[in-house]
Amino acid sequence: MGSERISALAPLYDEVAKCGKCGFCQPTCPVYRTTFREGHVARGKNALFRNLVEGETVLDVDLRDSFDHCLLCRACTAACFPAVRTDQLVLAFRETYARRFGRPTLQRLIFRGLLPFPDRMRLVIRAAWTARRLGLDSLAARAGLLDMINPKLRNALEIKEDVPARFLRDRAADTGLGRPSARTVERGPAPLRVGYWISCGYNYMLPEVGEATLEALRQIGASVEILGNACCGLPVYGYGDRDGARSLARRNIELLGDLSRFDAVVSECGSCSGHLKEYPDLLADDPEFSVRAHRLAAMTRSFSEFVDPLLARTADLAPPPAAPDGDPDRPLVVTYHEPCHLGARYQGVVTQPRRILKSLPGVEYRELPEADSCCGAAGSFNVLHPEVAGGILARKMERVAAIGADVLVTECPACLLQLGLGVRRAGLPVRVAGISELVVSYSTGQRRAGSDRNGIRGGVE
Amino acid sequence: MIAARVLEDLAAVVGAHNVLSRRADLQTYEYDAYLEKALPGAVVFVDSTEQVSGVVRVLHRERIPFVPRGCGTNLSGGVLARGGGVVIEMARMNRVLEIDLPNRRMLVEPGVYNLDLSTALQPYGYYYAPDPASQKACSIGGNVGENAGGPHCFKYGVTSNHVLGLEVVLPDGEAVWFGGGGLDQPGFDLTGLLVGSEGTLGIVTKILLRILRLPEAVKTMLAVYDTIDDASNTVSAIVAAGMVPATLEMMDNAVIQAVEDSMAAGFPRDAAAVLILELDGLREGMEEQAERMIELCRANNVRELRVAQTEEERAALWKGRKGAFGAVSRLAPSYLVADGTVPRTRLPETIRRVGEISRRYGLPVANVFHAGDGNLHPLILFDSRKAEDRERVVAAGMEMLQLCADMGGTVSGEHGIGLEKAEAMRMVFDDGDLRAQEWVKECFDPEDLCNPGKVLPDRVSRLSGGRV
Ligand SMILES: Cc1cc2nc3c(=O)[nH]c(=O)nc-3n(C[C@H](O)[C@H](O)[C@H](O)COP(=O)(O)OP(=O)(O)OC[C@H]3O[C@@H](n4cnc5c(N)ncnc54)[C@H](O)[C@@H]3O)c2cc1C
Ligand code: SF4
Ligand code: SF4
Repeated sequence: MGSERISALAPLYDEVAKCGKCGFCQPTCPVYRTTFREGHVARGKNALFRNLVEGETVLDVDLRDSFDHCLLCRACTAACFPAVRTDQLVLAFRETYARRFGRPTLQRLIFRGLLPFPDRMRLVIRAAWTARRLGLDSLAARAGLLDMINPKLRNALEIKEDVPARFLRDRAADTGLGRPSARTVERGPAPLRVGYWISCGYNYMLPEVGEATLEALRQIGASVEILGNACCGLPVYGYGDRDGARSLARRNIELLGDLSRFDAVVSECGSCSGHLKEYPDLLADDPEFSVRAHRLAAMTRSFSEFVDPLLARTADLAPPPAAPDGDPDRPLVVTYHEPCHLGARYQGVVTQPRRILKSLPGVEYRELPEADSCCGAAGSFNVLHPEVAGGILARKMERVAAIGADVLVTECPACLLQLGLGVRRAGLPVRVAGISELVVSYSTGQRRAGSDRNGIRGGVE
Repeated sequence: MIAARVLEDLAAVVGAHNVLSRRADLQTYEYDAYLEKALPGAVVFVDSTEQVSGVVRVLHRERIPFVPRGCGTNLSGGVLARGGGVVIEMARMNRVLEIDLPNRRMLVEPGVYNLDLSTALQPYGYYYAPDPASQKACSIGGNVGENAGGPHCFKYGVTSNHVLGLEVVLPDGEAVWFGGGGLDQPGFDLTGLLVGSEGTLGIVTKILLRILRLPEAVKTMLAVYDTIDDASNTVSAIVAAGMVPATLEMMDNAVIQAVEDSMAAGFPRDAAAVLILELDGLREGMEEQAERMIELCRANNVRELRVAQTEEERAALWKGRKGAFGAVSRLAPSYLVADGTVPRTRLPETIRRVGEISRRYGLPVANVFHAGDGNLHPLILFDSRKAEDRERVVAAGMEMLQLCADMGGTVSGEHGIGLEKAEAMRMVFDDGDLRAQEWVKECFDPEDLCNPGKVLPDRVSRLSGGRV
C-alpha cells in the first residue's frame, strides 16, 4: 500500500540508520518531558521511520501521533552525537503523509491562495477579528481558518482581550516610522540601509513591538524601508508542504525586488529571519532563484544580530526606567528566552541578545535555566496539542518564577504570545517584552518594556 | 496480543490514556540500546506504588509477563518484553521525595535521571557518586536494575554500594521494604539481592540512597602515551602503590580520533592511549598525591601530562570521556559494546587479543575502559542494516567475553546480562552455580512473570519472541 510513496523516505535511510537508540535525546526533548511517551522523543520517531523504510510498519493514521508531536526545535539533534536530523525526518514524514492522504482543502487554499498575498491576508484576518468581536469566533475556529492561516493567531485569540485596531503595516505607513533619524550615530559615511521584514506575528498581533523595532532601528541611525513581503513560509514548511514553502520563498524573493538597495534585511522575528536563512537550502535546485536566495540569506539579520555591533557605538543610553515596584535603586531584573529558530540550533544567535541586555544600565541580567528550550509555541504545535504545549509552557514558567525576573525578554512574536500566556496562567509578576522594546525604552527613558495597552503580555500587576 | 478485557482492567488502575496498545505505539517500546527487538503486548504508565501494585496484580492474575522500564538506555536487551509481555513504564515516577542531610541520604522514585540527583543535591554541597557515562539520560531505577557503574566507581563503588533501602513491588503485586537506614540490616541482605537483578525479581518503586559531600578539592589530569602497554602499566603501578584515585579511565587511539572529530576535547590525535586520572578529597595532601601519581606516569614513559587548571579544562576532559560512546557512533552506523572485566594486569594482553578478534571478523574496534576496574568496553563497529553484520558482531562480542573469562575475568562489568549475555553466563558459572541463582528467581517469581527470559541462560532457551 502506497509503497511508491514511502520510497520517498528511502533517501533518508542513511540518516535514520545513524540512530543507535542511546536515548541521549530524551531528557532534552520538551515534548517528551511533558508526555513521557517514547513515540514523542527522537529515538521513537526514528524507530518508526526506520520501520517504515524497512517495511516493518505501514503508513497509516496511527503513525501520525508520533510525527505530529514535534516542535522541530532540534534539541534532540543537539544532544545526539551522530547528530541525527530528526527534524528533517519529521518533515519528510509529514510531506509523505500529506501526499498519500491529501491535505484538507482549506489548508491547501490558505497555503496557496492566501499566504502568498499580503493584501488578501490582511482582509481575511481583519474579517476574522471582526467575527471574533461579534462573537463569531467559534465559527471561525470551527472552520479551522485561523489555525491554518497562522496558528499563532488562534492561540492569540485566547489571550487577547482586544485586537490591534490597526496592523503594523498600516501604522508604520501612517506615522512615518522607519524614516531615518535625525540623530544619526557615528557609523560611517552613509546610514545603514535596512529592509525591515514584517512578520505576520508582529503585523497582525503585536504591532507595538514592531513599532519598537522600527524606532530602535531609527535611533541607531538606519534608514529603513518596510518590505512588501508575504509570509516567510515557515508554517507551510512545518506542515511538510515543501512545495508550498518553495513557492512562498520564490514569491518573497520577487516581492523584495532588487536587493542591492539594502545593506541588510532585518527582522525581529526569530522564525522569519531563521527561515530566510534556509531559503538557499530550499531553493538549491532552482537555477533561477538559487543565487538570489543565497544573496537574501547572506544579508538577513535577526534584530539583535544586527543591533549588537552597532549598539556599542550609539550615544549614551538614557538612565534606566524604574523597576516595576517604583524603587529607582533596585536594578531591573531581566532574563531571556532563546527562540529555537534564533538560537544555537538554527541561526546561532546566542551571545548577541544577551550582550545587548547586559549592556543596558540598571539591568541585572540573569540567565534563565534551559533558556534555549522551546516554549511550546512552535508553529502549529500549540494549536494541535494545546495540553502538551501547556505542559511545556508550565515547565518554562517554573524556571522563570525561580529566578525572580521582572522582565522576560525574547525575540519572536510566537514566543512573546506564548510566554505572555504563560505568565498569566502562572500568575507571575513578570512582564514579557520584545528585545527592541527594552532597547527603545532605554534610549527614550520611557518604561515601555512589555507595557502594551492591554497588559496582555504582562503578568499580575 | 493482550485481551481487551485485561486492557480494561489495567485502564481501571491507571486511566485509559496510560495504557498503550496500538501497534504504532508499541513499536516505540520494542527496543532499548541493545540491537534486538521484541514487540510488547501493551505499555502501561504508572505514577505511584499503588498503581504499580494494582497493575502487577492484574497481570499476575492473568499470568501475563511484564517488565519494568526506566529510560531504555541499557545495552543488553534488559527491557525487551520477550513473549509479548507488558512494559511497565516508570518514567513518570520521577519525584525526589526527601533529602535528609543530617543522615546523608535521600529518598527518590525510580524515574529520576541519575544526573538530576546530583543537581538536586548540589546546592547543599552533596552529590550522588555513581556516574554512568549515560547519567544524563538514564534513571536511578535502571541503575538499580543494572547495578550501574561509572568512572568514579573505582574509588566510590558501584550502585549497590550506595543503595540503603528499597521499596519493591513483588511479582504478585505486594509492596514491601528491603533494607533501611542503617548500614547493617538485620536479616538477609535483600537490598543487595535486588540491586542488579535487572527487573527480574520485582519492581522498585522507592529508593533510599546514600549521598556524599562534594569533595573539597578535585584534580584532573590527562596522561598521554605512545603505547597501550605503558598506559596499562601506569594503571597497575598506581593501584599497586596503594593509591585510590577517583578515576582511572583509558581511551585508545580510535576513540581519541572519534572524540576529536566530534567535539575537539583537546586529546592528541596521534597518541596510542590517554588516561584520565582524577584525585578528589581533602585539599590537604592533594598536591603530594598528585606529585606521586605524576612520578608513576613518568616511570612508565608518559609522553605528555596535562593537569586541568580550571573547571572549564576539567569539564573539557570529562566531556571527551563521557561523550566517547557517542563520538564512536559517528564512525559507523552502529556499534555493540562488549562489557567484560579482566584482572588489571592482563589488560594489555586482552586488548591485543581483542584487536585480533576484530581483525578476524573484519569489524573495527574502538576501546574505552574503566581501567582501574579492569572493565573494558570494546566498541565493535558494524551496520545494523546488514543481517550478516549483525550475526558477525554478536559472534565477535561473544568471543571477546569468552576471552575475558579465559583471562580470569568475567563477562560483565556494569551493563548487565539481560538477553544479550544470558548464554555467556555459562562461561563463568557451572550448572550448579546457575541452579543456585535459579532458586532465588523461583522463590521470588515462581510463575516466571517478572522480566522473563533474562539473566539466566536456560530461561532464555525456554522463550522465544525476540527477533534480531
Ligand atoms: C552511551 C551509553 C553509555 C553508557 N554508559 C554506562 C556506564 O558508564 N556505566 C553503566 O553502568 N552503564 C552505562 N550505560 C548503560 C545504561 O545507561 C545503564 O545500564 C543504566 O543503568 C540503564 O538505566 P535506564 O534507566 O535506561 O534503565 P532501562 O534500560 O530502562 O532498564 C535497565 C534494567 O533495569 C530494570 N529496571 C528499570 N527500572 C526498574 C525498576 N524501577 N525496578 C526494577 N527494575 C528496573 C529494567 O527491567 C532493565 O532490566 C550506558 C548506555 C549508553 C547508551
Ligand atoms: S536520536 Fe541520537 S540521541 Fe536519540 S537515541 Fe538516536 S542516536 Fe541517541
Ligand atoms: S525536534 Fe524537539 S520536539 Fe522534535 S523530537 Fe527533537 S527535541 Fe523533540
